[in-house]
Amino acid sequence: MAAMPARPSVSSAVALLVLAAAALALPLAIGERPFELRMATLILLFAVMGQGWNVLGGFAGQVSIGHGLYFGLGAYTTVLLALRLDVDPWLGLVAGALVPALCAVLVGIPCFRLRGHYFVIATLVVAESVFQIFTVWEWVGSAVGLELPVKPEGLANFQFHRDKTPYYYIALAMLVVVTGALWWLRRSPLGFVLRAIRDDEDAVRGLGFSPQAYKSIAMAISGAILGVAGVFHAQYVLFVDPFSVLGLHISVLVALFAIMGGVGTLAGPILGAAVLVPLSEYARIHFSGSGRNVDLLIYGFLIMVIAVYRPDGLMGLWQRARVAAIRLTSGRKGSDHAPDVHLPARRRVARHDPRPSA
Amino acid sequence: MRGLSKAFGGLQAVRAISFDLAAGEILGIIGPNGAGKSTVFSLIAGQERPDAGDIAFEGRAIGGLRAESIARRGLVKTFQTSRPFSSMTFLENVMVGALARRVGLERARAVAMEQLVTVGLADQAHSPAAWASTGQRKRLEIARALATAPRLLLLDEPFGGVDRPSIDALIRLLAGLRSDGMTLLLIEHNLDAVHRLVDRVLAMHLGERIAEGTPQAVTADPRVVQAYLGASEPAHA
Repeated sequence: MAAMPARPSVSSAVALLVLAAAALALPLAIGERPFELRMATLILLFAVMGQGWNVLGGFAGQVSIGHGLYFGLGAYTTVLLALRLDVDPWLGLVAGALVPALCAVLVGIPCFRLRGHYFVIATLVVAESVFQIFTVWEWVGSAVGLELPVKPEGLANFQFHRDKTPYYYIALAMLVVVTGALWWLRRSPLGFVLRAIRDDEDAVRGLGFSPQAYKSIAMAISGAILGVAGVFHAQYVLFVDPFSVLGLHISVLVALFAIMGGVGTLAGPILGAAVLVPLSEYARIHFSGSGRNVDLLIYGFLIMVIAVYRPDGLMGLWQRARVAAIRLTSGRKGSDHAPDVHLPARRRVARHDPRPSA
Repeated sequence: MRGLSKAFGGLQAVRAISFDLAAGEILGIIGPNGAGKSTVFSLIAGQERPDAGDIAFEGRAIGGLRAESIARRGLVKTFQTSRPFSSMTFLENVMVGALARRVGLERARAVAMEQLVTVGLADQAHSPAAWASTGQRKRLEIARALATAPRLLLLDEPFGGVDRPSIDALIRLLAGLRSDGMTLLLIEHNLDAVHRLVDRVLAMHLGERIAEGTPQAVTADPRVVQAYLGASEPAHA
């Protein structure tokens, strides 16, 4: 089927295997270089977050710039449970998924009454409001934040002090599980209806679906994934404060990575994180003391480039290169009839538009 | 439908409209722009809430229900400007309609293919819907609606912007649906198509019903000629 998310071909399966092997072997190649290991872990973490954002922003077309909220809630949930009730971190992980999912549904109830720009603004306002509340709320550590109690390292305690490599593998496992689940989701009836909502919400309603209900499900899944990422972050740095987990920059980065990689695609958030996290990290090192402003400048520049030349993100660029390669190898350079290489309908339309007559 | 009224601010879009629709009948609503035809559709389909009046379908009141609830009861509306899901293929568009029946993907695919055959678009099944011509969009939207297994189909200007051969094909399609027991309510400006297809016509002007009867009788009615056709003689578009 043309526009249905493509079933993996043999070449795709081989590519995935190679990629998986490379990802598994990466810490061995990195060796004793903590900066590179941290960067690789951050790429995986942001890729997971991007995948989570993509469920709502990409699949269902509801662009949110308040998703840092669910990341922060996940982080705070596990830390608070550990501090106040001495809850096991793996139970904290479950709670860190459920609490943001529930909050996401509650946020969705009023916000889904809005559309387009108004929805975007509402998500931002909600996230910023929670951020402000957390900066003054003593019970959650206010602006000072909270530290997770240091425990003996090991998988049971989800803490690793001397060698951070296990964090990398946990993040990798998270990304594999989340990506696999979303691969299945896209092919499910739910995924179908979400795509239809992205195209035309009123038409979907007219067929007998409740867009609000479907968007709420997407919001809950999205919030849960961000929450799990937040739990991981808290266990990784053993500390939470509003600025590091609830700040606006988290929301912006999550959306940015998915958008730049390719909205609505599974590979997009991974690609976006793989390109932009190193860019950000190296910019901080090479261009200034904190580097914060420089990486934002680079992001801004890239947004303009993507917006002007490839509105479908880096994945669009990749698809274009694949089509060009197939045209070249099939000796049909310049033809408008190159084989469809699992391009979603919208992309193929952008490529050539031979409208048939009525 | 009894005494249906709807105002938008100071504008009375629909004023005390009443009519019945028998199972298996095709009723056409005609009238000049601003007559209130689309508002009547929106009220029936649940896109607007009536200020007054009752709407019942198969003996159950549906006035004021949400659009999705009404669709689940078997009343499905197509849009004046066809709105296919542009990122999907023809087949996937119709599958979404079939999924409204709460069936699995494989069953939805089979149902969708059947409906594409019905509307004559099976050869386009795997083409992107964004490529569809106006005529194809109209048929695709009908197929998508049919996939939900409706009992009453509301068609908002199904012949609008469609060329003559496609109009003929659409008329054959809709007549075939009626033969299968489907009830159809349509808004249409193309009076020639209305004459060829519908059993009964209701004419509206400025939110009010001004005539009702056979197509021939209504288009010959002086009030309709005055209000809708703007001429002294009935004309066929």
